[in-house]
Amino acid sequence: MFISLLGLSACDSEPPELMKASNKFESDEIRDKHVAYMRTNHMDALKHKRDETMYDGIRTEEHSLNACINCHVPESHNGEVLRHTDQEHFCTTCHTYVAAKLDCFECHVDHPTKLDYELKSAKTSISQKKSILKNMADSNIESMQLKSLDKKELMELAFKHVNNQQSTKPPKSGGVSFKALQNSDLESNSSNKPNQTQKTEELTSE
Amino acid sequence: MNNFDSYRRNFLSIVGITAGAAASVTLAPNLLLREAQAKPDDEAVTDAKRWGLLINVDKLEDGGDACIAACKKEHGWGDDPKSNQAQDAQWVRKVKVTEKLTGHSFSLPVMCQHCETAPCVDVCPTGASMKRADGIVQVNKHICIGCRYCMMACPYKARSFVHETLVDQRPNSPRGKGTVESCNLCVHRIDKGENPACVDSSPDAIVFGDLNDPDSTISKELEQNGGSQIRADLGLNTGVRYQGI
Ligand code: HEC
Ligand code: HEC
Ligand code: HEC
Repeated sequence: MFISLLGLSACDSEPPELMKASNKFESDEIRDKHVAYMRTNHMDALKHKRDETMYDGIRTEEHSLNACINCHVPESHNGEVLRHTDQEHFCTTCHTYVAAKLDCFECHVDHPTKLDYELKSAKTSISQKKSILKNMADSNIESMQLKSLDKKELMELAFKHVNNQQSTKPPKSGGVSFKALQNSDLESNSSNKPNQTQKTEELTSE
Repeated sequence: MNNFDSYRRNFLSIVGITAGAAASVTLAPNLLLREAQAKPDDEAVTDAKRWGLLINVDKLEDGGDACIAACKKEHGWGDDPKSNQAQDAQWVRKVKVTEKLTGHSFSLPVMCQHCETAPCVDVCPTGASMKRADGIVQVNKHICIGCRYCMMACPYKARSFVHETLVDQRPNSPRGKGTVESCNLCVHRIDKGENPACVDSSPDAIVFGDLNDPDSTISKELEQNGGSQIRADLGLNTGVRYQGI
């Protein structure tokens, strides 16, 4: 009897403490409205908004998932990035409690990230361009036999070639085989090489 | 989706009154001509516009490396975990065409061509592969089941599949395992009135603009000097056109 009472009281346990939002609303009134609305409606609001954005390009802050994250998840927590896999993450704390799985963060970033439209570092400098050209000259790509020099014709043929490869070589295991493309004259991988240095640059700039 | 139509109706009446803030040509600090006017954030896109790109291959000295790098940076692809090379994401790839006999070659960036009659949209069993009213072809990943029919249907090999779990995606470009992805013309930038990232990286070689507007730079340039479609024989009426191929 005593044991089962204990069990019951465990069920009635208080909901877990949620991490406080890092941004505040203008007034307590707005906040209280937000809390009341979101507790019951955030699932519908988010899904409605996501369709509006996808189909109609509506980009308001209201009910934007990125906006929730920017307010509700700190930029860092104890010196580390707070992820949705951590129990302290605002969405996770409650969702674990109510046992509702969230798949949004498979794709959506789960913590605030500074947006960086600075594309300067992505632009190739002259020396990089030179090395790219050199790599292009060095790379030994098997080309296909073509009679005409006409650029346009080369193009059309190249794409027909890809399509033929697609239809004559069925993919081996579930999916389009990119091998066909990589082994042919349509160079796709070696052209990525010159960017490798840029890639590391990009990562450090984040 | 249920309240959608009523939403749209309300919305259109609002737009009717507040329109007018649109057409303005801005000169960016770096002297880029930007024609993509910011639409109000709460305004739905319409088919009045059709976005397009015009890529001058001769002016792309690096065959498109700069714009590919800009795309990688904007959308965060290119460095994903993978178990083999064939799983590489390819939002845009550099295609090199070489004549074996003479060694004559040129390269061009190839990405989603934003077809008017897109084969990927036709074959999608869930409606995830979609064309927005303004001509942008994209994947609504929320309803993508990862079947990859669209990858098979695309004559340009423009689509990739995400094979592994990703973290730290770009906030404006969510991507995740089990779904198909491709160039979306930087739809999040266009909606804010900005150019796609590739255009800003190669402003001399790539023009972005409204194909429906006869006065836009892209339309004028196309009218004067023409621009070809890759595989024009397929009759897909692509939104991405090339010069110098
Ligand atoms: C302007 C910042 C801001 C934005 C944007 C925001 N919130 Fe909040 N939210 C708050 C604040 C402040 C509270 C009050 C609790 C607190 O201080 O942490 C709150 C409370 C909540 C609560 C109630 C928590 C509880 O105590 O039960 C939920 C649920 C919630 N928000 C969900 C969301 C969702 C979902 C979004 C995105 C659609 C969102 N919020 C966007 C600031 C924000
Ligand atoms: C398979 C990947 C994927 C998953 C999973 C996913 N999304 Fe998205 N989501 C996207 C993409 C791609 C966009 C479009 C971004 C754009 O156009 O800027 C988007 C956009 C959105 C937007 C509009 C942009 C914003 O920040 O407001 C919302 C809201 C949204 N998603 C909500 C959700 C919710 C809620 C979930 C979980 C139930 C979810 N998404 C799961 C890929 C995904
Ligand atoms: C106060 C508790 C609480 C918090 C905090 C919370 N949620 Fe929820 N969420 C719920 C509950 C309860 C449900 C409903 C589950 C159901 O209907 O079965 C839910 C459902 C959802 C759904 C619909 C799930 C589905 O598969 O249909 C989404 C999407 C969602 N929440 C996103 C979020 C996001 C994003 C955050 C963080 C910004 C968040 N939630 C924070 C309690 C919470």
